[in-house]
Amino acid sequence: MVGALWTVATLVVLAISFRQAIFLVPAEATMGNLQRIFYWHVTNATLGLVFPYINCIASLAYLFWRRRDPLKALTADAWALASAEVSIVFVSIGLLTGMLWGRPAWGIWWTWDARLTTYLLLWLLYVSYLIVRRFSSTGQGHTLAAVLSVFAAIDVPITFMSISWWRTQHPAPVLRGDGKLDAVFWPAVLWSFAGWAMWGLLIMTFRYALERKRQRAEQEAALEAIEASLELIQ
Amino acid sequence: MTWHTFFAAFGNPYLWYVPTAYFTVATVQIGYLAWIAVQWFRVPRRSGYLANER
Repeated sequence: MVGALWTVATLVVLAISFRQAIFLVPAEATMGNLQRIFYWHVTNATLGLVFPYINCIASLAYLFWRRRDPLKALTADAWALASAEVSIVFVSIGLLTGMLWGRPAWGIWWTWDARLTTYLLLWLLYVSYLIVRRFSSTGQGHTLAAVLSVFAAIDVPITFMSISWWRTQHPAPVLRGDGKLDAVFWPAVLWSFAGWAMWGLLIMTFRYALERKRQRAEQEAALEAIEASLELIQ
Repeated sequence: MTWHTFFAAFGNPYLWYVPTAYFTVATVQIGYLAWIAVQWFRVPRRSGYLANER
């Protein structure tokens, strides 16, 4: 019931954010209607810097519990996997919509400035995280991935601060700092943040439930195999 | 913008990036959700072993 209400509320808030971003807020003075990419680009890209922290916390919990309480460790591991995949989804969107805005605004699809490079590095780190989990043959894949995710989280504040620390092609902060966004644009920004944050939590919970289902199926298959082998011995 | 100008922007060499960006966001997010849904039905059903049903 809570899940259904959350899903409906999320879709309603996203519809409001789309209406605000495309139809209601005025066109920006310099770029005109092209600037409307901003609302979903910035919100998705920023959430790509939030979900990695959930992954980091879940990974630290996994490392803490993996010997002390393996069942809790499995739960933490499922949250870590779900948040890593959701991070990749949001960072991918940040990269794609950023390129779609950069081409008409700067005349180039990509440049190796500090913001873009550290953000691409973040995407590569979380893809590496999934690859280590999937293909490590040591039996320690989840532990290695958890350690990797702690290192990956270090890239998040560097990416966030890159436009303040270095001179970049990417604009300086517009939601904070000197070049503040005009008040007339804020409703679209806030509705978009709310909508995509709710969506992110929703799909992360779905992915967590899927991983828990897979873990239980795996545990049952292992226990049934042990029982079958014991019956054979008897 | 209106619905008409939003979709008409696809034919504008300067503005086609706007609807494309919004459709890209929707496609990636809904695509991931669809992948989760497909995987949900691919994971084997629980036999009930862990729930002491046997």
